Amino acid sequence: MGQVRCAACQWPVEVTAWNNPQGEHCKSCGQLTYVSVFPAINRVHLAVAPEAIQEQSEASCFYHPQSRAVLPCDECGRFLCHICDCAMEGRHLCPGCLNGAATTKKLLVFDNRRTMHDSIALSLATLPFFLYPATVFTFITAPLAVYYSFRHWKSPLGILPRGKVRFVLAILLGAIQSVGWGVLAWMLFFLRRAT
Amino acid sequence: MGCPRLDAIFLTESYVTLATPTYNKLSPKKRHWFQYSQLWLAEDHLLMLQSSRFTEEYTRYRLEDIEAIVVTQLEPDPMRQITLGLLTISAFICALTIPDSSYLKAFLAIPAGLLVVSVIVDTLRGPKCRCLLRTAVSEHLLKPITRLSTANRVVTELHKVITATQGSLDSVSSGIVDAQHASYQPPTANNMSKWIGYLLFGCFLLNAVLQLASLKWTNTQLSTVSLNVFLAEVIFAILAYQRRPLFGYLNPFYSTWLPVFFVLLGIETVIVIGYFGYYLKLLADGPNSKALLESVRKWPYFMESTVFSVVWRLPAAILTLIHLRSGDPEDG
Repeated sequence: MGQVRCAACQWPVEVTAWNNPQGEHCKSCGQLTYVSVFPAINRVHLAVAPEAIQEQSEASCFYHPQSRAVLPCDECGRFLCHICDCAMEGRHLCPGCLNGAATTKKLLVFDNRRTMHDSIALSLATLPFFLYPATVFTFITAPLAVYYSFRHWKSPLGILPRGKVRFVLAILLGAIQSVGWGVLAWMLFFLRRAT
Repeated sequence: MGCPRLDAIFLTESYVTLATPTYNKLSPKKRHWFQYSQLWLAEDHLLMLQSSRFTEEYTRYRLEDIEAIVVTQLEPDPMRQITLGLLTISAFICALTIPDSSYLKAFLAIPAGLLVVSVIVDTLRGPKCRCLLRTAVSEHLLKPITRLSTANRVVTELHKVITATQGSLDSVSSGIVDAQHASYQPPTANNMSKWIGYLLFGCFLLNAVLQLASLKWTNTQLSTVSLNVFLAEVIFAILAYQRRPLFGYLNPFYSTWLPVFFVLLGIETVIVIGYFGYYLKLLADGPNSKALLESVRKWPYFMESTVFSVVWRLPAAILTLIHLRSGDPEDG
């Protein structure tokens, strides 16, 4: 069982302060510290050593032929010993399957980074417009924002609840700017012809 | 993937069809310059979101694995408040005293007003805190929780769901915990950092002695040495202020006297700047070193400033050094 430490100075907090609603002052830094401790702190984390095969008829681990298999992989069905059993999200996977899941991010636990395409599209539509010297580049960025919005309309966004308002705004602003550039170009062309 | 059966499963159903859990907002967004962080709660895990606007990164903590949540209240930073207050007052004074320039008045008054608003908002949001989440293998700082009021709300909510998952420590295993920790007491805080107190108040004593000596032996460079000791005092005072939690934050001695010393050192700084200006003016006239020393004595406020320096330094240094020597400063 480990120690619980003060969040300010990392000094160990006394057991008397655990789950004390009034909190207690840290013995080192004197800051008022509230500690909520849960039963998981009592959990003993012991590694289980694989058992050696005693008889020829016993199933062996796919990765360790000398070790007795204890369960099959939930994905590929390979027999696994205690060492090769990777418990993840309620499943028992072999190292190969776990690696595959990590590479393809098919397990939720590995899905830890997402690109926010809607924010990128909205930035393309707005930032160059407001950053004055870059405004001249909106003839490129505005249609790009519209294209990017349609391109990634169905791409997965973050895992948290989020609408498509940014995409809509990016399309609207991008379209308005593009039309503006179009009108400007037409006027320049028209004026040149007129003169 | 090198595993035909796995390929078939991955590419068809299984993981692909894993449902994204439903998340409920647990804490408000903690905004930084170009990013923010926030806590979300799912049925079986806590999610910390860190967004840099264009990407989102997620850290998940299974409710089953959370061993403890520690919230430590941080003291208000008086230096920050004083600095903000001084900035505001100076901006307002400048805005009021500038004649015939409404643009400049507005230019100064608007930031001053914003500063006032920021101070009020900061005060209304309550004390700050740090929140640590502990699992069996790691400790993570929960960045979105920076205020005690938020921490109370979040921890109450988390306590409910974690207790529902793990059970209550009081009812299940408090006996085990007590038995295992009965003999355990954390070590006492080391007092190595008291050296800063010795250095600071030692400097006070040295400076007082030097200034008294400079009154007696006028033809020496003692006042120059005293000036250097004064600079050391300022540095040690800042260090002592930063390290005060380490040498007894709750000790009323330090919490009362350190701000007083800062005020006194501030007055001294004004005096020293005045004295230094006079010194530079003398240097510009180009006298020899002996003449310079004699001229320095003729500074109109030399005697008054020396007496002022000695009067507060000497008793403060002697009393504090005795106090530090006599025992643990945490006893008050």
